[in-house]
Formats: sequence, C-alpha cells, structure tokens
Amino acid sequence: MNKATQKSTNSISTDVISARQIFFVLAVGCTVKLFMLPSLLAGGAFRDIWASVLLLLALEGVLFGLFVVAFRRAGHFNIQQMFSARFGAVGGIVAKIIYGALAFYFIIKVTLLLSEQYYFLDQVIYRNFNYFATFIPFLVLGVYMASKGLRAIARSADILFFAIAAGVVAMLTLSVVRVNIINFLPIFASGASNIVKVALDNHIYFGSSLVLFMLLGAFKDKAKPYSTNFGYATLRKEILTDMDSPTEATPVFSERKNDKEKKKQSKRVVKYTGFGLLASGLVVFVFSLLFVNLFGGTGYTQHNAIAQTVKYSLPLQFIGGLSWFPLLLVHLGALFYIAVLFYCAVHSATFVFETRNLSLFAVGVGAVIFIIPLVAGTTFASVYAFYYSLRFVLFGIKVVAPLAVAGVALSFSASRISGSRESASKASASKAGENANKSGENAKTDSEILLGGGS
Amino acid sequence: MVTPNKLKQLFSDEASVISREFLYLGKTATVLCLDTVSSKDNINLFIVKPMLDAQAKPAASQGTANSGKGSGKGERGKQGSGESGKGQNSESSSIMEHLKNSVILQTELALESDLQELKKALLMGDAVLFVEGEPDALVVDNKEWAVRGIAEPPTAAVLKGPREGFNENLKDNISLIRRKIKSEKLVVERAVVGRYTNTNVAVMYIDGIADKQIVKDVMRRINEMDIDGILDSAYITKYLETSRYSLFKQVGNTEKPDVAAGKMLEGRICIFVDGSPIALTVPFIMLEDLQSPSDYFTKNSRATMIRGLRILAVFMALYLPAIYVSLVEHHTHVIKFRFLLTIMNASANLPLSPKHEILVVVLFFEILHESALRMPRHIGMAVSVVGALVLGETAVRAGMLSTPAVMIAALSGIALYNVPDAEGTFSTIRILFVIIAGALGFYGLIIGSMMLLVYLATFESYSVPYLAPFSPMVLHDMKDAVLKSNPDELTERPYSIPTKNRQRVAP
Repeated sequence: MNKATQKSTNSISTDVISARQIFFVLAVGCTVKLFMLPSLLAGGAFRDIWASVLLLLALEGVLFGLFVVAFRRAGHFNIQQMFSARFGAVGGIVAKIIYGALAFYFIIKVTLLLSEQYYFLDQVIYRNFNYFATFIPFLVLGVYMASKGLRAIARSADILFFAIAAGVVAMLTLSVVRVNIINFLPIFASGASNIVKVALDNHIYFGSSLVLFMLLGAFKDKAKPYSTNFGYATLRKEILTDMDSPTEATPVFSERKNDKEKKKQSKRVVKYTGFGLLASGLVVFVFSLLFVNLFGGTGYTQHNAIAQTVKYSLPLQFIGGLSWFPLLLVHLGALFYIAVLFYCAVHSATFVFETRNLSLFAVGVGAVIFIIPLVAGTTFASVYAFYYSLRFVLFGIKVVAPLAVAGVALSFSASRISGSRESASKASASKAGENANKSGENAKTDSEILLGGGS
Repeated sequence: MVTPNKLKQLFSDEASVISREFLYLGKTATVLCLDTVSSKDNINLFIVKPMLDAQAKPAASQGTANSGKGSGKGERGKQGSGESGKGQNSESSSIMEHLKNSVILQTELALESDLQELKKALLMGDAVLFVEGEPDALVVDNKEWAVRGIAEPPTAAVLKGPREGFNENLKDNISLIRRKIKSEKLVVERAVVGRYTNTNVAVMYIDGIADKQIVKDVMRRINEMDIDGILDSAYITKYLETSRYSLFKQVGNTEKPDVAAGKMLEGRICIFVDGSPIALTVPFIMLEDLQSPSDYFTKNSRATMIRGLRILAVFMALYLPAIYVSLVEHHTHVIKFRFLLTIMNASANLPLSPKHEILVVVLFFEILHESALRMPRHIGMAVSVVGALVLGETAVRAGMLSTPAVMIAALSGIALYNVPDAEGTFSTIRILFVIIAGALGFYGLIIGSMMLLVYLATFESYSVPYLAPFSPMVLHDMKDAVLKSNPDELTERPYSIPTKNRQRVAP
C-alpha cells in the first residue's frame, strides 16, 4: 500500500474501537476498584460496603443510560461535532468547556489511581519503592500509548484481557474462604446516610461510562464480510457492494450502511458496553462481599485489599507464593485501565485546543499528573486528600457533562439514525465521515476491513 | 549493426568470452558465450550441428524464411522493467529468421540488435549467434550455471513431510513452486536488480488471491532499488520492510517449496532472488514464526500442544532471566523461604550482582552460539563440551557464577531456539528486560512489557497487523493459530491476510 493510501487509512484507523474491544476495556476497569476502595468504603460503611458499591453501580447505570441515549441518537458524532451541529460556534465553545472539564476529571482520576498503585507497590510488591520510579515509567508508557491513538488501546485490550481476567478470577478464587455470615451482620448498621456519604465521597472510582462518552464517534463494528453462500444473488450483491464499497472498518453510522445495519450494529455496541460494565460491576460487588466476609467491621484497616484477602487462603498455605502471579496480573490490569484514562485525558485536552497532536498533549498531561503529587504530597493519603477537596466539583462534572451530551443528542431525530447525511455537512469537523469515504474508495479487501482501525 | 567484436569489447575481460566460428552458407557465423555459465556442449549440439546439417541439405529445403511479424522479443518472458525493445529491427533478416524458426534446436530464442541487451544475455549465460552481414543477432537460451542440487534445507528439517528445499537457481525454485501450484493463475513477475550483479528477481503470487495493491507495492519497491549488487534475498528484505529500523522482521522467509506454496495459497506474495535459496514472503505476521511445517504432518492434538509449547517457550525465553533478576534483587520476600535459602547460598560471595551475573551468562551463551555456528562440524562438538564445562561447571565451582543463574540462562537459551527465525529479536529483547528488571523489578517489567505490546499491537506489515490474529482478535483465524484444525475445516483463507477471494473449500 503506498504511503498516500496508508496515510488515509491510518487517519481513520487509529481512532476507532470495536464493541468487543470496548467490552474488554470496561471489564478490566474492575481492577482499579480492588485496591484501596474497599478500605475507603469500610471507613464509613463498615460492614455495608457492598451497599455503597451497589449505590455506585446504580450511578454507573444511570450514566450508562445517558450514554445509550447519546449513542443511539447521535453516536456518529463526537461531543464537539454534536454541539457544533446543533448550536454552531457557541456549541463548539460549550463542547470545549465540557472537554476541558472532562480532561480535568480524568487527570485527577489518573493521579489518584496512580498514587494508589504507588502505595500498593511500596507496601506489597516492594519493601520500599519510590514515587519517581512509579510515576515516570508509567507516564512514559501513557505518553507512548496515547501517541499511538485509540488503536493501541483497542488492540492491547484484545490480548491483555484474558490474562487480566485470569488474574482476577484467580485472586477471587484464592480469596474465597469459609463463608461467615456473622461478619455481614448487622446489615445497615452503619446507617443509610453513612453508606450514601461514603459512596459519594469515593465516586471517582466509578464512572467508566465517561470513557464511553469520550469514544462517541469512534465505535465501529463489523459483520461477517462475505457470505459463504455463493448463490448468484449473493455474489451479485457482493460484487456490487462489498467488493467496491466495503461496509466494515468504518464507524457504526457510516453513510454506506443502511438503517437496518446501523441499528443492528449500534445494538451490538450497546450490548457489549453494557456487558462490560456489568462484568466489571459484578466483580467489584463479589469482591466487596468477600471483603466483608473476611474482615467484617475491621475492613477499614485493610489497605490494598486484593493483596490482603488472599493471605487467609488455605491453598496458599500449601502452595506458597502462588498469589503473586495473579496479583501482578491484577496490577497489570489496573495499569492498563489507568493508561486508558490517561488517553481520555489527553484526548479531551486535544479537543480543547483543537489539535490532533496527541504526542504533545500526552507529554503535557503527563507533566501535570507528575506535578500534582509533588505539590499535594507524594503519599496516597495526600493525593486522596487533594481529591477529597475536589470531590463535589468532580461529581458535578461526572453528572452534568453526560446530562448535557445526552440532552443535546435527544435533539437529533430518533428515526434518522443515518442522520450523518444531513448533519455531516453541518458538523464543524466532518473528517470522520470523509475519511470513511476515502478508505472505502480505496477498495479495501475484507481483511483490511476487518482489521483496519481499532479492530 | 551488431558484430561479435563490438560485443566482446564491452567486456573488460575479453578472454572469458568464448567464441566459436564456422561457415554457414558461405558466411562467417560466430557463436559467443561466457565461460563457466554457458554450456559449450549445447552450443555444438543445438546450434552448430543443426546449422551445419541444414547447410548440407538441398537448397530447396532451406527456402527463404518468412519475413515474420517479429514475435521474438516476447518469448523470453516478462522482464521487470518491460521488454527489451531498443533497436529492434522490424524487418528482420530472413537468414536469422530462418535459423530461429527452422534450424536452431532450442526453446527460447529471440532476435536482438541492441548491444546492451546482448551483453545482458551473455552475462545471463545465453549464447549469442551472429551471422556475417546480418543486422540482428540471435540469443539462444544456453544457461548452465553451477548450482547446488535440491536437498533438504538445513534450517527447516522435518520428521515428516516434503524434504525438498530451494537452491540458488531461480529457475529451479520457480519450477518447484510450479510443481506445487499447477494453476494458470500463478503469476511470475520479474525484475533485474543490481547495477553490477544484474540479479534476477521473481515475484510470484496467485492472481485472484493475492492483494493487487500489495503486489504493486512490492514491485515498486523492487524496481526502485538502486544498488550495486544483490547477492542474497536478505539484501532485498531491507527494501521490502516498511519499518527499516524495527527489531522485528516484517518479511517472512522460507527454504521449503511447500511452505512457500502454502503461504501463497493464503494470499501472500513470494519473492525469489537468483542466487539465494531463501524465498521471502509478504505480508508477514508474528504467528508465522511460531508455526512449523511439521505441524501440518502430525496429528492435530499433537500439533496444537506443540504450538502452545512454543508460545510458552517464547515467554520463558523472554521473561525467565528477567523474573529471576527481579525476584533476587527486588522481591526476595516473594520467594519461598527454603528456595530463597538455596539461592542465597548459591549466590553468596559472588563478585557480581544477580543482574550483572545474568547478563554475563547470557553474553557467554551468545558467544558460544556464534562460535558453534562458525565451527566446522568436527570441532563444533569440542566447542560444545568446552562451553558446557567452562560455563556450567568450572565457573560455578570457581565462584564466578551461581548455579541458578547458569540454569536460568541455559533454560532461556534453549527456549529461544524453539523459534529459530525470531531468535535474534527475542534474544535482544530478553537482555533489555533483564536490564529493566534489574532497575525496577516487576513493575518495570510490566511497564516494559506493556510498551512492547503497544508497539507490536500497532505494528503492521503491508497494513496487516503484526499480532493478528491475536490482536486484533480474528476468531476465524484461531483455527490455525495455536489450534491446529483439519484442512477441511479451514474453509476460508485467513482474514488476517488481505484477499478478495476468501473461499478455500466449497461449502
């Protein structure tokens, strides 16, 4: 493929992700909730952390519902295109504010989660570890990953998911001990207000749906490219359509697809993203139950919960240090998910400044993340305190941004899922649609179709 | 008008141009050929004798040749830069035409009047026939290169399956492929590369299966090559690679015709270089290095197990030394106490830290490996014994190295040779991992691994993702990735390789 063709392919191929891959990314998001979150929740909810988790999952569900609304109505747009299509230049400015707020949100979240991992490394994996040795290597990874685009995350998820899932399952299995119902009782002893308060105080750990909002306009899906039925009608259809104007490796709402295909593929995206969040939530909920089962009311002292729960595992007394390997896989999952959030921060920042220079902004965002703990304090407690002072602002961003996006999306007609025809001409950045056309005109084979882009 | 002397004068070493003169129809006929690459016997048998016999026949049977439409040029097959059309005399001589059509007993004949083309033909090993007074010369296929016979390739030995291997003769190699793929769709596109070597390059693919854009790209890269000489296919590899400075290869290679044919049936393109027994294949994915031709000649379950072991071996090769260094330098509390005591006892009073120790042992093994490659066979055995004794026994007893380090490095080295085609790349990466693990432990190893994964996940060979079908996941291709399925289950070609003709087996 000559450079010109490759360039035009890459311009679309780096910014797309398939339903399967986003499922993997979201499912892996459970790993960041297995370290400090249980003990933080136990600080207020004691034995009722599972209730706080359920509450936060419900919030996640609401945000996901807002995403579904936005995706179904205007999923072919990203936030900027959506606002610009509806409100013109003013909409563009509002979109920038939203992106700026989201960038701020993700930066704080990444800083907190990275500090948590530093604490984990310092307390569990190493006898003594270093703030610089934690942050700098990760930021190098984050910058590198972000500069490669969404495709890097999407394809990495395809490989990492299974290893991480095996690690999580292994750790959960090793954590299972004899169930002790007594530790769960009395239920709701901490009081509903404490349960709600501690849940909302730690809302930052949840909110994977915001990642989905960042990916609006970048979802793609594929069906089987060629039917194995080589009857005349099928063959003719393929000759006239698939061979010259492929329908895959393009955004879900590509102009070349008919409404039925778009509906089918958008359903698939919603299904997979929902399953991803469900899987992640289920793991966190089950772990919270295990945590309470093991530690009862003393859970608030059990930092780095995932490493603590396996200590009481009977198999480990015979096997020995077997838990280290799955523990490192969970840690790998956490780092990967934090890298995804880092990408979201960079992605948002580039929209604020209207540039696609991911590398430059990755370095900038990385620098900010590096400096915050130096200012606030390099310990997890210091960074958490910093986050705690901003928790209401961040909660506001978490709720208002999706509401705004979903609200604007509602203004797009439900019957016109192929609204890209009308709106593409109005959108301030219709490059995604143009690039989809360009890549189609290059008469891609189905492997390029299948494999082009995030998939 | 071309003459033998003019052609001889083009050569710096005129003595190597052999000349055979005789009379034909009262005119001096001269046959030129290049010593050592042309068959002298064939000249006598297929050129001189038929001409003398024809001369001896009654005049009526000789007749005048058709003036002909001048079809000569096209019979020599495609040249990469198009047919040689310079100086073609559309009104060809009747004598030369008569010789070409009725006298010379050879299959490939062509009239030519361009001196440069005649020079090329001589260099290729053809014979050139001049007849006094004729404007054209006749190029007669007469190549007789000294080539190695077809034998089992040393780099791809199998217990079962074909044992043929390519040799250095391009024609033989093309012939081996043609024997495997007897289809009219098999295309051979040719090019001549190298200012001094004028090396023939053949690009083979199956029309209707191979992606045309990739073929075009490959031909463009080959035709744009401007180099003094091509001595091996490795020279061309550098020009075919899309990322020149990457540690990872982007062009596959094989010495076996069945493997090359199999890859072409999947949609790949094969490039052959005259003088090299190694065929190149593009696009290339990493999975190819993890597969072996012998997988297709053993039972599926066994082949699946072996493929899984290879992948495990790759992880062992890459991570075993790094994990050892991490554990001993940074994470001693992870190791079981009794095993930790063993390691501590073995490592006590050593002059080097575990990281440096592993690097030294790995370095010794690399030196040993290089020595073994260059040693004659009868000395190689001694080198192996010396290496094992020196490294394994003496160094440990002398307190220079510890037993665990030697064992880890040896295991890693053995695992590395499970994938001989990627041995160099993985060896380099494992050294990098050891350095990272020595500095940062498991965390550094995880970060390094993720960076490597991101690099490979976004790495492509002719727009084909390098880690396909694992990343991006292509479930269909998993049937022949780690799993080994029956041929009738592989109804479609791999989705990882671009092709518009996906159907392999009739539904």
